Amino acid sequence: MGHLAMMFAAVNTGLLLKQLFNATSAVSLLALVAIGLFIIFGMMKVINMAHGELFMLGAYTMWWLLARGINFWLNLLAAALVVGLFGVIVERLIVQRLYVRGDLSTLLATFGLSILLQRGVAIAFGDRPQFVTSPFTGGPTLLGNTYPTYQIIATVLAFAVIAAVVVLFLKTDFGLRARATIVNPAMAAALAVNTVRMNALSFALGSALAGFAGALAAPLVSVVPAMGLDWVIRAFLVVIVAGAGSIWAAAGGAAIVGGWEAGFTAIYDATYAQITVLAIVWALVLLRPRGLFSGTGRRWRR
Amino acid sequence: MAAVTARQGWARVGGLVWNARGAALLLIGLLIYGRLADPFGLFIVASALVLSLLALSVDLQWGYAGILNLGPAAYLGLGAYTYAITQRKITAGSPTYLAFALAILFGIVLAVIVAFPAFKARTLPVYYALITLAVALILQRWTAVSYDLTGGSNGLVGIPLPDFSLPGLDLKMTTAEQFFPLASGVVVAAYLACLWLTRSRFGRLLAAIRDDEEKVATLGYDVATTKLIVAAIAGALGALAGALYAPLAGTAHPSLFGIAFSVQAYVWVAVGGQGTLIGPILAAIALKLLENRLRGVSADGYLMLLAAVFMLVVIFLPKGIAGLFDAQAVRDRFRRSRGGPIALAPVLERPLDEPHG
Repeated sequence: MGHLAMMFAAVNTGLLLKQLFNATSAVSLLALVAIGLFIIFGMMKVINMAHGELFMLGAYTMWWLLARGINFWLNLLAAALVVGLFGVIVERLIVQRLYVRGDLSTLLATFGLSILLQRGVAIAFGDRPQFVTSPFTGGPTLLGNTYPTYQIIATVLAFAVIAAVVVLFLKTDFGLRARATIVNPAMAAALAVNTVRMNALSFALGSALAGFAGALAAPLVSVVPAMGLDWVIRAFLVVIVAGAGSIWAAAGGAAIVGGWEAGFTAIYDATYAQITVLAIVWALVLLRPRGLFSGTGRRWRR
Repeated sequence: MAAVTARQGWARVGGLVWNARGAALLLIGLLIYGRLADPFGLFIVASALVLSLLALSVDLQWGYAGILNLGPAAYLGLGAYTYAITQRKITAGSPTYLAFALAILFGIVLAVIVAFPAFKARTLPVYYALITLAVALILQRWTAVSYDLTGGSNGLVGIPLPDFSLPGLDLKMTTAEQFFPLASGVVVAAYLACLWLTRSRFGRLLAAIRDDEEKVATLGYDVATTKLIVAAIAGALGALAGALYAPLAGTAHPSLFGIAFSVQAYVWVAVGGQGTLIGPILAAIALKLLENRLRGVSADGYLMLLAAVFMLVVIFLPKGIAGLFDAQAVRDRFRRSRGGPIALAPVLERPLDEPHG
């Protein structure tokens, strides 16, 4: 009897560890998507509804290049580059025209763009899921559960890129100018920061991050034209939960939203997990309308 | 209030009739169409009319109050499933009245629940847009997995036509063509109700909130409650559209909650002109007939076309395509060219901090 209890405990620890790993992996990708959205939202006060489709484009770039026999790791960079360039075009053609008008027309125009991209990809490649094979098979086994090597590497890589973005924002000259533009665009412009260029650069950076995240996630999810919608809504919930107060808020909000969703999915069911996430966001909006980690925007200063 | 002289009274009645001329013309047009069209055409226009209620709900929120609900289809789906499930569960008597009442009630309840934190806590306007989008998506998911209640991803089929029979009065609908007069009547009534609402004091308050929310709040108006009321009315309209659409289509499917219906409603409003009410209805009929003509084109292609039109309208024609033909704007342009008193307006309309050139 005691033996059985011990075995049961061991199984539970193993399972718990596995779920914890899955949650961490989900959070890392979500944070990567959300941080791009954060930079664009913080910088330009613009909501980019097409952010999820940029993620989708990243995944499709990976799939398309991989099918042509190009190296997986090169494709990761290519996806970031392609989607980043696409972001530049979107910024030039749409966002720059609209954002003096206030954020709602940008939101509507990018909403239209997201449908356009989603259906365009559906026409080009079909609605069926495309499979991207990861460069690794199998993985280490711990307490009876296998941990896929690719998932481990993707998680580490996602966190590394997030860390790089944080360093970029907090330690470099570019970051200083970017944060100055976020906190007070008029003053930054007066101090010879080219805010129009900063906006364009941060839009490109946010887009590139979404494209990279899409390519990185491609072997872990099914690649379909509508895949972006799920991610963009999650990333927006992160923004709402966390508030666009600092670069750290993205990570904190992603941990709450992604962690809860992964945990609840493991225990019960994916649809109800999303319903509970929405309920939490609903309550948080009522209690902390500016987000959990918002402050006064002061934190961008350091 | 001062006494109204007979002359003023007649002027008011005249003004009301003049304001409602759109409804009269619409009704006459629909009557003529109803005489001439074949059953399939009647079906197409009836579904355009029913779905134009959803566009009206978008126009009320976006065009008049300046709030964005990106998931108006949530109410379409909710109304459709409420109608279908009520008709299915209640077999005694005629549940039609109950089905419509429940649909509208649920529409109002959902709208208030969704909007409450976003408006009461005075969040950024984008939050309402994002939360409504998420609610529509999650309702769609939930409907697709709840097989017992909603039939899951197969949806519900064989939804009966409404039976408005009262004791001693047989109003049971037997063919889908009979839907056309019902849809026409409901849409004209909804249009008149919205017209009355937007021309009232409440409507002026909405326009003021759209133009400068802070100022309205400073003047002592309850901005949050006003927006909540608009959201609730829009929810009721959307749910009514769903409750009419389910029997017309004969089926209820999770895609009713989907983004295609939401985008379609926005396109109708953008094309017809925000804040015009009649514009979205006319755009609904015209574009639905066009969609029917383009049946050879794929559904994806049509949705892409809608999205592209929508983007172009948002970017280049903030007042909608109808804004091009706006009588007032044309008059202004004419007067401006003659150097009349309007000439200063374009300078003043521009925000002061916007760089010139």
